[in-house]
Amino acid sequence: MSIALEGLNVSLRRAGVDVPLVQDVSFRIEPGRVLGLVGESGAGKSLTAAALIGLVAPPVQISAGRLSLRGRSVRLDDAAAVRPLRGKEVGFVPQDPFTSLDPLFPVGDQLVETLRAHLPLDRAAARERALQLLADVGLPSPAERFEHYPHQLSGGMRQRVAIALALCAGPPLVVADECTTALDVSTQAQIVSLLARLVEEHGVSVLLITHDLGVVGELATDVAIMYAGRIVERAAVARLLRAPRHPYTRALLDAVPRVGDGTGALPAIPGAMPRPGELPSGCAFHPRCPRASDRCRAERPPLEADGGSELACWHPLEGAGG
Amino acid sequence: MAEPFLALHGLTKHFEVPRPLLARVASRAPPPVVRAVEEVSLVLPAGETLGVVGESGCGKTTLGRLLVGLEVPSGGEIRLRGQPLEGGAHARPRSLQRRIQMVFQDPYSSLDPRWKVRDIVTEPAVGELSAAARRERASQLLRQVGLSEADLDKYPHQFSGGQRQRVAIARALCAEPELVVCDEPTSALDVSVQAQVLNLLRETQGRLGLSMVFISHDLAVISHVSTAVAVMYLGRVVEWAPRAVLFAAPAHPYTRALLETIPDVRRPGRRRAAIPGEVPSALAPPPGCAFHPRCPLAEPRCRVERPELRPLGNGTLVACHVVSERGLPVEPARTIDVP
Repeated sequence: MSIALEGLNVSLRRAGVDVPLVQDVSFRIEPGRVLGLVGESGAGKSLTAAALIGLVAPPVQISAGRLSLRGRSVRLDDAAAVRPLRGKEVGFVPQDPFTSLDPLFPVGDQLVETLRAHLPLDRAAARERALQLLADVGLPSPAERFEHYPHQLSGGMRQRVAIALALCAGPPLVVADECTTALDVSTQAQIVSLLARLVEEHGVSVLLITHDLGVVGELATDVAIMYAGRIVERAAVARLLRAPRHPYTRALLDAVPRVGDGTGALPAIPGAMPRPGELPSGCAFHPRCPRASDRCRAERPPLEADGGSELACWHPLEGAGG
Repeated sequence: MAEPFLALHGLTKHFEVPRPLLARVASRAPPPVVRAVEEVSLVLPAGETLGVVGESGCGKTTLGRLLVGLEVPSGGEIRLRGQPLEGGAHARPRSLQRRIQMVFQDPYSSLDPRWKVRDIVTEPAVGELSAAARRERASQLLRQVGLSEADLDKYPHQFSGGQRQRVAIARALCAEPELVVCDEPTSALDVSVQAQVLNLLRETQGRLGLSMVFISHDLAVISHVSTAVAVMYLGRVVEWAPRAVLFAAPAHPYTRALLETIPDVRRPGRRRAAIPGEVPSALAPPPGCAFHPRCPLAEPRCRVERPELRPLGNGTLVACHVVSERGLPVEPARTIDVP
């Protein structure tokens, strides 16, 4: 059964005024599929993740939004309704598991504790299950690592433990927030293949939040690009990376340096993303957009169906095949 | 032969790991030592960029810190235009020290939050210029890095990450250096801003004829900025080659594997090959070739005998028994997909 987020709005209350941070974000993820939510710092992607796991705290607040999963629908602005979802219905893999694992307890105990919080297991059964999970995420010699404290594990191994924790209660949705960013490239490749295998085996829906288009290309089946709090383009991964329609998506792809491209100037995007509360009129990207017209400056393009995809742009680029 | 612009000879840095008092009293054994940089010898011609690439813990940052004198070498030497740079920054003659400047990774912690930008960028010239001349110098530096005079009296928190990195570059340029060491200058930045900062560095280098040592974990960035590349693994240089040669014909199995791990946005759906295992601890590097436990080409002697850097004939220097003996592997390096 697919997961759906509808109409998420997150804002910051500052001096009695609500500054919008995330506006009208909606998406659907089928089981076994990975939606890459991509954006630069300040685009609102991590706040979207925080909203899904009930970790938005004042002065930031959720003003609207519903999450539908397993045939029911939960209002995300109702903290009491969202809290029980965390772990059981929505698993979470953080960027740096060193800060999310408790440094004072062995990782095995943390897994047992989480399992027993969500599932009716006695200690022995939970221990058995935990060992199996650690083996499943490719932790070398799980029985030995079970007794280890987080600081005794490498970054890659801690990330494996964090993935085991996120999956242990069998949630239909896993939110992974920049879960490969802090890792070295060689370890990153290991974690990416692990996640890909687990998605396939468990049939979970994954929201992969990242700024790294390379990781998206490997792992995601669909991509949504965020800019200044809104989704501006959503499409299947191959279509979006090969023939982006939004000028921002195109510019973002062009700015990534690639081996073999020579040493000429990189096509940089002029300027910077607007700060919250300083959104320009019309399309938020217009001050940096090479295709901007008067209409872009005056009127915000809505996110509308574009073939099988979605797009918010008055002057889209021609995709492959028009 | 003329002295090269920058030459490192057997540059080495070891850090002793402090042990608790009781352990020191109980045992006379020498304290454990992290061999951060081991016998690195390199040359850099004037006006060129040496890219230094490797994973966390390979010693690339320590190498950069040795160059600018933030660390004192445990052995070996650094020569700038033939003049030895001895000890740390404070031991070096000021006229020599100011010729080497650094741009750090994190523009949030490398700028003093209590200082105005005009004071930050002209700090290297304190005591040399009058107040009026400093102000003039500050606005000139800011213009060079794409900021404006309106920014002179701002504080670092008023800038975005990319703008802060511009301020850091302006500060490095204030001393009119010949060599700028950049340690991951764009890894804290978003891609669109990373491109701006890389372009600025490139343009500045061309205009001022600077030499650069550019340290990064990102091979794509390295391929973009470097004229030659040194690949480091556990404190040692395992391969050195001119940029074009390194990327067209990578020789060391580690370099080949690293290149395989670069994701490519133009090939969605492709899964990169992972290097099996993890970088071993620098406290206890494996004997022989440090890469042998993860190497698909490893032979018995790789476990006992450490390979020296040797020329391969195409401009590459490589520290690998197998490649030195049999030449470049024809097949792509075998990499194992780790679950």
